[in-house]
Amino acid sequence: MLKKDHKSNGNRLQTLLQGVISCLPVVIFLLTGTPAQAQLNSNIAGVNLAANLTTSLTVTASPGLVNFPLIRSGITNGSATITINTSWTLSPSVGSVKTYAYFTSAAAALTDGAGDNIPSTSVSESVDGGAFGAFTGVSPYAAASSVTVSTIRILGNNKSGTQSDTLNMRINTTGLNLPAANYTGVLTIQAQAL
Amino acid sequence: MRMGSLKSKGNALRMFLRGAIFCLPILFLLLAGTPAQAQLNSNIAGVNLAANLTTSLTVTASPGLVNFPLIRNGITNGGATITVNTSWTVTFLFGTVKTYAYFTSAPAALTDGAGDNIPSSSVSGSVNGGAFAAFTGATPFAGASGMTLSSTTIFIFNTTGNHSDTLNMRINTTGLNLPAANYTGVLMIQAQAL
Repeated sequence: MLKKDHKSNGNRLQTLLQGVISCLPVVIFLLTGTPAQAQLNSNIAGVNLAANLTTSLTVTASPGLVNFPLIRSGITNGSATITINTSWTLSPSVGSVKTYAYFTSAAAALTDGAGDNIPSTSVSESVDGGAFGAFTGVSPYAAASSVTVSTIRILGNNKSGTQSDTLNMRINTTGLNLPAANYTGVLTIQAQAL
Repeated sequence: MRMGSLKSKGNALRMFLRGAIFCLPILFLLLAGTPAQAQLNSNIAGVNLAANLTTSLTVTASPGLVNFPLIRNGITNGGATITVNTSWTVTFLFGTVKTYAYFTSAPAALTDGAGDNIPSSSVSGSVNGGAFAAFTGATPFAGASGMTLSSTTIFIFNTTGNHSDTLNMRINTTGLNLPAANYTGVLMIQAQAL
């Protein structure tokens, strides 16, 4: 009985060894991978990329409405600070970006539409918390009713950029002898790259 | 007279019989055809046939131009989806075929030619509709300005095959402060079998 078991075990071992031996080449082949082979590179297919960044110069101003509860003779501050953002993407040839605020009419910055006007000399501004000055300056857009909000020199590293400024406003009615009325006007904000 | 006539008929019969006997072999020869003979084979003129299926690895990419109408500060999608086809015939039974897209210069994937560049890290691609990733990966052809489009395992039955992929592209100009200009570059598509 013991002898038979020994014989049976021996046969199994022999079968196992035969199986391993027969599988060995396949296993070695799979483990070692492909035999040495040359690296093969393809042709190059080129895709041309064309990216166009166009020139742009944009201003935004917020809020869109400033109220002045005028007094008969004196200074009234505007109800809100105006924030002006200027953004640009320029070609390398541009030297500066200037942002202006102006009234199209120096004589009638605000009007009641009935011939009673507030001239731009009676409207003043403070840029970025600076001193107040009247809208009597020169700009490319209005001869004597403007202020320069900002001037940015364009150098090598800021051909694309943004600038933010604040503008507080006042109206001085001293000496205007205005009748009671609603006076309206538009302060125009515009930038120029040159 | 009658006897002469009989003699004449006998001669004619004899002549006929002689003629028939003389022609008989020829008649047999004609009717029986060629006499039996040994089979004769010619020499062999061997024509060598050489069919050479060469190793090949080819990529194509279409279209050949992708436009990007850039914005000053943000992401712009390419104007077209690129279709990349890779086809191969290789001699080895196990290996891989990988297809790559890359820029030859990481700092200047696109340039305006005046020193203003879009780096490959600002250009990203989406392969087969997957997530966008920047061209900052390593390939056998460029250090850190590429990406892998596809990887196909070669295993016995596909030593000849082809593969198609799509590639969508984006350019992100955020933080680049680029001047307005036309930026151009070439995306290289290349495959490698190994």
